[in-house]
Amino acid sequence: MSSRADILERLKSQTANQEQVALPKFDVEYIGDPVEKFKTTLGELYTEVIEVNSLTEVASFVAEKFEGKRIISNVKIDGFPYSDIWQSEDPHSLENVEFALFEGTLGVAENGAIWMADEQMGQRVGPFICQRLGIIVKKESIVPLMQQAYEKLDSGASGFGTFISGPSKTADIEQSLVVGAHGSRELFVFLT
Amino acid sequence: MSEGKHADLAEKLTNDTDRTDWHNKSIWGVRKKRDVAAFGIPDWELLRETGSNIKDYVLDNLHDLLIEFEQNAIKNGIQVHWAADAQEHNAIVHGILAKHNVKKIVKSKSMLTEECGLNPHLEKNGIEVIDTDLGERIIQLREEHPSHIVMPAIHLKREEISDTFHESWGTEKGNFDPKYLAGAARESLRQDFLTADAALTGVNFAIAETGEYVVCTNEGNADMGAHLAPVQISCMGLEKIIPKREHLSVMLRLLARSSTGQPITAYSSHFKKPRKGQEMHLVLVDNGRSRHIQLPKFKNGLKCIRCAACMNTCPVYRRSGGHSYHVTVPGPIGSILAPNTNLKEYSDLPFASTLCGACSNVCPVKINIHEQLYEWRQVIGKAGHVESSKKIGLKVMNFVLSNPKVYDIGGKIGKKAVSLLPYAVNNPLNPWYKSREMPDMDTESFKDWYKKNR
Repeated sequence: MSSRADILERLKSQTANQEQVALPKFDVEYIGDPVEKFKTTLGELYTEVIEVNSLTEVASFVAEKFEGKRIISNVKIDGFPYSDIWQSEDPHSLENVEFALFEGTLGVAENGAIWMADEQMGQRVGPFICQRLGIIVKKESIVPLMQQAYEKLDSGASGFGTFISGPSKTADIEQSLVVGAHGSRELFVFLT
Repeated sequence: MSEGKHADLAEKLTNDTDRTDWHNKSIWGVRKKRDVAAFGIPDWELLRETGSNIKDYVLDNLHDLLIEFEQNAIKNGIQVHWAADAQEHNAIVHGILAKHNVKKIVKSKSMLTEECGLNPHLEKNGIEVIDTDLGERIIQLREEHPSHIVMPAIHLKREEISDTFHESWGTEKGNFDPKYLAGAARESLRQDFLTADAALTGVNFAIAETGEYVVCTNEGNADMGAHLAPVQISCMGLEKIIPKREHLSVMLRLLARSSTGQPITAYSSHFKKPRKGQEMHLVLVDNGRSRHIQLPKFKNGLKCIRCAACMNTCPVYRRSGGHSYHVTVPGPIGSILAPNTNLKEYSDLPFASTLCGACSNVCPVKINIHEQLYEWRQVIGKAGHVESSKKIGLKVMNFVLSNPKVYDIGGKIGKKAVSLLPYAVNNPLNPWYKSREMPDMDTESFKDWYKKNR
């Protein structure tokens, strides 16, 4: 017999209790105002949260801060240079990207996590390989808990999706926290 | 793994009192962070209860869930493999790499591949293996094993890591700054990510309903590897399945808080379909799990989500260090998982515990760890694997405690001896004296005191 058949055979006899686990409604009251909680949580996770009135403000912030450096973006903003050529290039060629800008699908107040899927990323490696990362999050997209996040997210379409909550980090050397491990060194969240 | 039993191996750490204290405090710090995170959620206990119920359901329906997962994963374009044991797992991974003529592979953290001994197997076959989690990279350069499942290099001091990096990468000698050292690792490993022919990741959760799986990291190393390499392989134990995507909303809330006290890891990536031009493989590994699940008293050890909370809280782990457990997953959970794989070899581990129950209290999926430690002791005793010194000690204790006269006289002689000759117990031959002072002896026994005062 194949290993698959062997394994399944052994497990079959262990089958019991067919009742699926229904999730209770978890307490959301303690979160308070989701937008405020989202901001404080991300702040604690070494992220700069910037409230903006329009995407033009994002464009000028980026233009000023990263002038002369390689920038990629999957967001179309008036007056902001946009090109999608990088999306079809070899992902290795993104190695020299200083700043990458994307739009998050939703934010989670309890842990500062922001969801992005293939459609928002353009290239999967984009949000990870850039030195600094910017994500635009709409205030009305912020939910209190992971429970509401998964209720809202469509599981069907994307081939890949991720929750990002801050820049990459490590505490593997004597538990001293170092921000900037393998992924981005900084995360800027633009709240609109 | 290293030769010897837990108590002897622990001496490597316990012989150095300062280092034992340092290790103990550093791990206890993580436990405290976990408490702050857990108590920050008013219905934390409901969350644990729900996590536990989900994992119970998984173990009761593993057969059906695995089939459902496999079908959906295949639909998504993932190639699914089944491995009965470590050997088959290693052969499958090597087969995929050989087919693609892979010279170099980058790995993110996977305790499963450590359990299977994958790295030495691939290296023997001429493949360069680079561990990319910083902690794992450190111990790989030092040719050691992880001492903790979440913080693999927690047993090392920054000076030692600095020396290792200096020897391997020529970093500045004597520069112990963690920021500098982590920066050097980032530079070195970035080159590895850019030149790897394949990437391998572990799996935190696999979802039957959608055929996708989730990998959590703080460093972003799993994603850097997987999204650059043309071939991605992920390896998971059978028990990592959960039924539905909505169940992630419970498991992801529990995992990082229990593990490091973070509300969530920096990245929780959901892999569902290969990207254009990429090949994606998933290896489902049994390696004793389908045997373990048939042991009613021990079955629910398989609910473990590898958060390491039980290690961080364990007074024995904190003072003996991960290497003293001579098995991939150390600490309380490792001590109830390992005997299933080799009862004789791991017969010492269920005894490396005070049975205080702290492990069961912090477990996010409510595994009755301390009760299982006790149960394994019974099994090991019946099989005749209890150490002879322990057996003799227990027999003497049984004799003394069941004979009140012997107990009375023994107590009196003992008190006298300690007051006249304190050195009789305050010496290094007495294991209790190691890193402890003996208490002052009362001159009167409780029995005598009670007679006078009742």
